[in-house]
Amino acid sequence: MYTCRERSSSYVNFGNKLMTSLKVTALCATAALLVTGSTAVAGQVMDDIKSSDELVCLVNPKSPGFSVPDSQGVFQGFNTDFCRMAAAAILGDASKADIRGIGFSDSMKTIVAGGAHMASRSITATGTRDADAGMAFVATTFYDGQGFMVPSALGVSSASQLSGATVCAEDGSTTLLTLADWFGDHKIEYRVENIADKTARLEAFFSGKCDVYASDITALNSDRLLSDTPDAFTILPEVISAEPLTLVTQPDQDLEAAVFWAFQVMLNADKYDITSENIDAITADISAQPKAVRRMFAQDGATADMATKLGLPADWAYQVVKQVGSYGEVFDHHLGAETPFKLDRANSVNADFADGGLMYAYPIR
Amino acid sequence: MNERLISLRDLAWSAVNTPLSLVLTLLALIVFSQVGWAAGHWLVFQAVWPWQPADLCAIHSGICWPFLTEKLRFILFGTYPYDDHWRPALASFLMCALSVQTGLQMIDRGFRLNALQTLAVWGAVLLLAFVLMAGGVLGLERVDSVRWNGLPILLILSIAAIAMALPLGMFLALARAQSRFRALARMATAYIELTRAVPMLTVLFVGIFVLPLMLPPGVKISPVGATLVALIMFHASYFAEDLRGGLQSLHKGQDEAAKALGLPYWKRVGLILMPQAIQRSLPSLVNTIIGAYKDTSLVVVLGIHDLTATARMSFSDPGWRGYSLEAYFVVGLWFFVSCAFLSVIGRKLHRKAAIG
Amino acid sequence: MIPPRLPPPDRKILPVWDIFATAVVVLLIAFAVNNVITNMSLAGATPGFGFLWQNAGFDVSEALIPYSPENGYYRVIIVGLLNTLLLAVVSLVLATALGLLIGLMAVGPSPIGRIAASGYVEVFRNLPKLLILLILFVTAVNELPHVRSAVGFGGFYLSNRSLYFPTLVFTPQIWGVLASMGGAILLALLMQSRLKQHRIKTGKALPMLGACVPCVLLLPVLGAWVLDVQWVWSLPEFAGFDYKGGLRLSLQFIVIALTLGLYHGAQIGEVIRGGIEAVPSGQGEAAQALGLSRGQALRLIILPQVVRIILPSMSNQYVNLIKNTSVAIAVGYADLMSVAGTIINQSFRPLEMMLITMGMYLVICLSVTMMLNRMNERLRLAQH
Repeated sequence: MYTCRERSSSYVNFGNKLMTSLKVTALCATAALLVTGSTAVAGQVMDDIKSSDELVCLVNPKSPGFSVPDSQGVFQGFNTDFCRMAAAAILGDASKADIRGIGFSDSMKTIVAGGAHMASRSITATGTRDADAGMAFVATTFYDGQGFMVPSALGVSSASQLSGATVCAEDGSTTLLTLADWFGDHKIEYRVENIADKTARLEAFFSGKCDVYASDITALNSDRLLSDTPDAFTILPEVISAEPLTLVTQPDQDLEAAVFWAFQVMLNADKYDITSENIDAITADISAQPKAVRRMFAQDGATADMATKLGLPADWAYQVVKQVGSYGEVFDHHLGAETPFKLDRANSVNADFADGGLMYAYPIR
Repeated sequence: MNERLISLRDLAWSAVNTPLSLVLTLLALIVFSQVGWAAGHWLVFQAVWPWQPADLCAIHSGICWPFLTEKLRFILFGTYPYDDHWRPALASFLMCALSVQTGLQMIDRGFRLNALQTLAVWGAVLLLAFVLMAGGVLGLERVDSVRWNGLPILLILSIAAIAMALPLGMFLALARAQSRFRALARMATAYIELTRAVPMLTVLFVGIFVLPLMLPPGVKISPVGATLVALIMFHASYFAEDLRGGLQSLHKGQDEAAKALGLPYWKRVGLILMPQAIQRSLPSLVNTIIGAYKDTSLVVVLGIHDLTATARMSFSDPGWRGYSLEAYFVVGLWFFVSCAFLSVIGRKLHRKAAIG
Repeated sequence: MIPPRLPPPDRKILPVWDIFATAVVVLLIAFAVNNVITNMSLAGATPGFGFLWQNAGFDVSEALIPYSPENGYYRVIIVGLLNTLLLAVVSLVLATALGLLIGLMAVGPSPIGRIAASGYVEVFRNLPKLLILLILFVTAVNELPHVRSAVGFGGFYLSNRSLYFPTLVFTPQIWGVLASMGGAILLALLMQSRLKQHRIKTGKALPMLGACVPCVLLLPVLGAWVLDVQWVWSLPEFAGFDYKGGLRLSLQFIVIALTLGLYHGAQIGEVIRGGIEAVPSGQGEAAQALGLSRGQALRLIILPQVVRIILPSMSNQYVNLIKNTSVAIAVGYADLMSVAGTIINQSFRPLEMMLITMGMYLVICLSVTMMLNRMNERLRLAQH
């Protein structure tokens, strides 16, 4: 427990830095999303989802905590729940999400080629990616930044002390480019080990094949707990990039709106402490709820109006919360204190805006 | 062992006999005992048996059977819908059974089917396997090819690739072996030599990355489909070379006699030349098939989740990290058994060819 | 009974199949090229090789030439190519040595050796190389010691990261010595051809070895003495995060070389065994009857025949081995294939990159085939 506190304090530290650097990006990104959204085709992809009664959603096949198949071959994790969220909102049934594990570059190509409706696989929204026709960045589900993890035994307290170190990083991702940029800018010599496979990369780091493990801070936090001795590793304070991990859909105004607002429902539910457990009690007593909650879940609320305009089931907002849960619920379920990853959301940038985080629930009205 | 070989051995070894022979024997013994010790340690003495609790795996350094009982179905069938696992299981069983039957038939065991019957059964089984996997008819739920994981996709890819590469290889071999149409022969030669001089992975990359670009805009090809095309294009050249060897070894009189009978080209090829060429090149064809089958495992690099890929996914589960050797053990065992079977067939064919 | 018919006389016929096949191929290529251009322009790109001069932006784990992410893509491709070549050469030597050992064991007098050889061949012939590579890699990473507790032996340090070993510091003087050594070898070759002529003329063999070995050895020593060479060794020493100094082979490199050595060693062993068993025993007996010593019989009669028999299969094996270096991509060794994969992901230029990569493998493989074919022909000529 002692070490846990120690960790969380350093996490707050990094969190503050990350927050200042990310807040601007995040708000700009959201604004950009809303603007670009309007140019997209309306309705075709949405119609396809409804007519096939199935929402094809791509996830990372091997990302513990975010998406990994269990022993039954069913994908579980934080990212997979946003696939289920979209299916619950559009088709009224979270289990109608056809969640498929696919490699990183393949998943982008598949979306562009129209082979899947959306992807929820920790894709960083970047300018050039958004400029590509064929995919739309919709809602940032996780704010992250790239950082470094080292064995505590090395006695390193800052990334500037890493001269001559060997760094393990993911092949073919932006991690590699960010890494080269940062070390180049700081004129620090290093050696990189590009290992595409996450399990192999972690194995290499834990066994000391590399001194440093470079990845998104969240991933560092969760991956560290996969070691037999999590306390033996330290996350360095430097955050060398902004990684707004964002849901991607095929360009379609209706689909983008549905996914975006379904996510906002999850954030609003989180804000008002509504979960899949207590939602039935809340709707049973809807007139006693705050107005914002009534607008979300009442039969004549704003969501019902949106439903007719976007062609969603009338109770889509209820279904999202009932079948998937609030943002905080999903977060805690897959990444929180009860999980092997023990992420402390309250002290991170992914906390609710009221708690100093970046998760800013848009008004539903 | 005949006299001849022994005397040759004698000669070859007497030059370096005593010290080196001793050293080699010792070396072999040391390696043997080391490997045997490590294997025994891992497989028996430190093993955690299926009926023991999984917690023990953290303490013992041997094979963790609880991991395998938990993950075996996942390694075999991956993310295929769990309740429908009987479908990939049945498809795999059918393909395995027919492969065994065909192998035995080549060495004159098993059911005797003629060429046409064999083809028909293969066609039927492949079709059935495909229907079982894909669904969408007969009340079977449709399952996208992204979810065809593990053993069945390994079998489908290797068997379908081999089955379709063979006829293409025949055509290439014939085109290269004839001299009447120069341009055709040259093109076949160029194709064969070019594909044989590049690694299979480059061809697979072309299939996955370049092939979709070569299709008209809007036409889609699934990763499994693209991989299959690449595999066929690649293996065809190797089959072509094996068959060409068979064609060249035929006596010239065969073709001339057939010509004298007034048989047109395709009949000469289909009835007289090709059957004999196949018979003669069977040993090398079986070798190529073993190689092709083993190399199918390379599709893991493309993100196709075959047996090797599901094995790797099985130990990515946060609850079961670090059991990589167990997972690879299953894959290795499968390949070892299936390849050993094919090798035995190949060796018998070799012997038959040497006698006949 | 079919009436005997004369084969049709050779007459000039239209090469229909030629025309048809050429047309099909040309049309297919045109179709593909057209689609590629359309598809790429839809994505806002035109096919071309200009991107090769853009910044690569990513680092590689090992490079034989100086490289930084600011260099163009072309340079990282060269880095990958050189890594592939180094890997190919080392694995080739390993596989040949292992194959020779296994082949000799398999025909050798020691029954344990024979069993070991066949067991080894069975295991490594029946497993995919990728699986062997993955198992070896996992085992090496987990079982070898951490770099801080690397096993050291005479300046060699092995850890789960890499193997470090001492190397000579190449001063100009040492280059001088190397040059004199090259000169000496050239001289020896010249002398050999003279001696051969002498032998053909007079029928007397002069002691070739006796004449050559001293001069090959003497000249460099003389050179070293004249140039007053200081032999400076660069020794690996632990500093900071890793060893510094000496030469480094990464664990990936070692594991892949080992995999290819083991995998192809098994196949080469089979080839060599087959070759030895294919030489009729009469050859050896005849050599003995002529009064040749056993060593002479082996060297002059048996081995040349074995080499002649196995050379075609060996050249096949060598080409396969070179191609199989591409499995390196699975464990992240920066060879040509994995560098190409990263560039494709980075620049989305699959067509251009695959043309370059395949072209390079093509040139390597075809030149090796040609070299071995020439050797084969010379051996065959020498035989007649």
